[in-house]
Amino acid sequence: MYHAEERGGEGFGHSAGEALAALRSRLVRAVERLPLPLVAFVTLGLVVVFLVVIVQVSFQVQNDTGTVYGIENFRQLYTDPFTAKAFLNTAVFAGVALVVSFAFAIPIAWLAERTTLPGRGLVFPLLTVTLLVPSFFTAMGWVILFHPRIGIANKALVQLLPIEHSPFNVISLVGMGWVEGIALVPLAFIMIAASFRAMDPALEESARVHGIAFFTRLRRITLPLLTPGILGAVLYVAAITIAAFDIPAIIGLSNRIHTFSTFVYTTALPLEEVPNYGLIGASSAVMLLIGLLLTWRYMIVIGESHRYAVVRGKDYRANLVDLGGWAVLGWAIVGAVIVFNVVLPLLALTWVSLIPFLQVPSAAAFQTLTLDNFRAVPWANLTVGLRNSVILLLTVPTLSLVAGMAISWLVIRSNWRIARTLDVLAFLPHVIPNLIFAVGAFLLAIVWFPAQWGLFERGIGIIILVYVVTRISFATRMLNSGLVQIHEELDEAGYVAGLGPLGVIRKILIPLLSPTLLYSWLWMALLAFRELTMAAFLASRDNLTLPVIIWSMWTAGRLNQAAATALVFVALMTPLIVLYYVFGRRHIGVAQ
Amino acid sequence: MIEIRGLGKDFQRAGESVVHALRTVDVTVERGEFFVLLGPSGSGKTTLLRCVAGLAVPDRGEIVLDGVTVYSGDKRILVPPERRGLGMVFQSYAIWPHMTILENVALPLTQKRPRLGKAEIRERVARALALVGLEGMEGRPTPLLSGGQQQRVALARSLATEPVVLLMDEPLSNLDARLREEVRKEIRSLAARLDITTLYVTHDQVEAMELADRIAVMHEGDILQQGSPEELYCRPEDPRVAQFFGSTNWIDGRMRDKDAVETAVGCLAVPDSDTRAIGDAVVVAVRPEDVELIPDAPGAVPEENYFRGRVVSNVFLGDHRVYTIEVGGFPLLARTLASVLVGGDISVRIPRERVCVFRAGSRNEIPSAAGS
Repeated sequence: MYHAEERGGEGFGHSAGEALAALRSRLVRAVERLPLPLVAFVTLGLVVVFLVVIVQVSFQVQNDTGTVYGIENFRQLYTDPFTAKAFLNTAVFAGVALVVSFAFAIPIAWLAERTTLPGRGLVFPLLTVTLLVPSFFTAMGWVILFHPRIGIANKALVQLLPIEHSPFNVISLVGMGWVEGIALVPLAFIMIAASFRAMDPALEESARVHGIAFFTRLRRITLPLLTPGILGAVLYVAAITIAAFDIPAIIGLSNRIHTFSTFVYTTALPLEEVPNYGLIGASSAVMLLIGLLLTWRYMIVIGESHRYAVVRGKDYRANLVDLGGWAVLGWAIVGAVIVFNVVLPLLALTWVSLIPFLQVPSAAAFQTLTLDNFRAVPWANLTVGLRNSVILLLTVPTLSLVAGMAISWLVIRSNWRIARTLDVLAFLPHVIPNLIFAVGAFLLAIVWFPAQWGLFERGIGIIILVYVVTRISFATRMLNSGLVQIHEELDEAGYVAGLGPLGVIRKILIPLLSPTLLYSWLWMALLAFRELTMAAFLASRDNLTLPVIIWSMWTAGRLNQAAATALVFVALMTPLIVLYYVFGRRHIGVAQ
Repeated sequence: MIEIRGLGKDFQRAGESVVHALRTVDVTVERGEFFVLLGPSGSGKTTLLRCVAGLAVPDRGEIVLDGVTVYSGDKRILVPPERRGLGMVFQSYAIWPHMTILENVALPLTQKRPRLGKAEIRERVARALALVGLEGMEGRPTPLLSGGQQQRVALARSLATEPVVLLMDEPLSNLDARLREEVRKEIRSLAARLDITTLYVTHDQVEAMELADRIAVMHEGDILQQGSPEELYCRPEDPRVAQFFGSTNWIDGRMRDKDAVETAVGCLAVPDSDTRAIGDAVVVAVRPEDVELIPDAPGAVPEENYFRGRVVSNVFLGDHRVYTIEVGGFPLLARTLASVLVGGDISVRIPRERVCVFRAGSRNEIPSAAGS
């Protein structure tokens, strides 16, 4: 209960003592109630500022007299063939990725939720953990295996099969789309599985009772009921894909296959010429618009209530389909996703990290096994990167939860009229690609602040800010659903007992939310640790993170060293993933 | 002790008309009094209690607790709940599940200023637990407690600070029937022993009558009547109040004299009234237990409000029976211990002082769900 309707001001004409006492109590009350709105406003203010600066810059044109406003950037974007190509590439790339990810995700969700697949309880945690494997890691593995010229799997196939040319080419739009799609299967799966669970099994059962056969049931009842959920997931995943950076950056960038994200990156940090900020702003504004349109459709499809949807474990489940011997095929599909995402890249990178140059495994190749790549890793650089990554890992989830707590409390527990607006703002980073926020921060530091302030040279602060802003949706979704489940009378009993709002949060809400807080913290810590996109955009000399270091080795062509470093990185991440798995098991699958 | 003057609160939801949660409520609760707010759901009783607690903010009026103005619309005073020094028992008990019994009861004590010492807090917790019969249970975790035990912890927690006012929001509604009766008695004796001022919300009129020194009956944000249980039961000023306390025979009629009403049953002598004119349409309320059954005795002297009828049906309810007596075509309910033959003729007598007369049509304003 937040006293949004509180009356302010003191009545004059009453006794001075009374007025003074009332003034004092108002002041105390204000001080006690200030921190929450303050934190909420600052965080959400940043969300708005990052977006506003993009729109502003997109209309800024440089000419002889200085900066003027106009639509020149958009015209250039529209007429420049290079730009047009990048946008077209993005469409093909995203299209392939969507088809691939859902072709896997829909059957897997059905297998995990509606069949007797043995051990199907493992599907969810396995895929959640797969989701945490950095996509740059997966992409590196795929390039090593299926590069048309040097890919070791391709070479091996040419040797083994009666073919003359490499059968697969991952250095292509379709290849990139395939890898992106494979990497997005876990996310798509989590969303679709949620729709399966939210569906009332009685609807299917009544069809069954009325004598409707399995495939008719699937076609006439199950799929139509799932359509909004699947469509929602498609729109959400589409918004992620069109701005995806990791995979295009690893596979496409050095081979001049540009998608939107790598196009913006090269425009922002060109090797020769002066960066064209106006063009970055304009292309980001276009993406922002596309993202918002997709989100708008998504909101309509899902219905507003979905934002609070918590996957409930229903006590009674639908009749499960007995797979019999087909269970093997079921696990083959699930296994394929894990093999493609984790096992193959891991094997490829391990192999490459242990040999001096790319070659197919053979007796001769085994003779050359060496740890030189690990010795050649610039450990001093890496230490700085590790320090930065650890700083992010510790600060980002903590700050996100502090800000998220303030926002969620205002949204769920106050009847402040502005609370709904706060909730919508906090939801924005969920649907606007992270990349856009990174661009916003990049432009903010360069365009809004004088260069001599060197906001970029100030190290890691700006990265922390952007990470926190992009995590605020996840934090508030988790805390919203957590708070909704805590009976409000527990808070009220705290107020009556003499605790103020901060006291109630500290003594009652935080202890009760501790499982949610721990789970969310670990999840966000892992994401902060493995994040490449935003760190790459905001990289400067002092704030390089481990993923950025690995990526720059890769783009510099030091594949074997990059592979060795990536392995070290994944090894560092493993204990955290285990910790997450142990603590988060109960929560896995909630409000992703 | 509690003075509520002209308190009003409106709710307005987007696109809907304004709902008057409280219209203009005036209540004064004396020191040590056990005061019950009684009414159906949506009558505003909980809103009123929450306004006193500070958990809801009124739109107008004034609340004074123990001489301190905690809310005033005119003077723009609003003391937040944490500084009102109250005790409160919630409907869900609101026992903090992450704390032991000791921690639950101690938390309000740790917020007192000047600060209390550790030993003092422990001692006060022990005293509060002893009051509710939970001696020595300090270390117990709370989630495993039964409903009755949680209720006691909630009570101990609200009493530990020795608050000037104790607020209770339907504290018994989540207990089963037998336990409810038991805890009701304990609350009554505890309140009397501690001489604490209590404001208690319930929709159960039996609970209200057993506990209350005084009751205020609420309906749609208004207080219909306040007074002792006996006053409310025997001299309801509003048909809705009569309706709320048990079943009633409602008989339409017309004033024939200032102390007589012509009804279907016959001409009924009623208490004197100057407020109604002869010829006014009225409705008469008679409690079933006030309908005396008199076995036909030949040669009995007809008295005032003495009617003849026929026993139509009989419902046995253990400690009493309810008969339907047809008098002049009107089915009159009579509640009695005696046993009479169904189908036989019988005489009934209705004591004049037990008859309540209301303006005609006023009964139709009672929502059917209001009775209990």
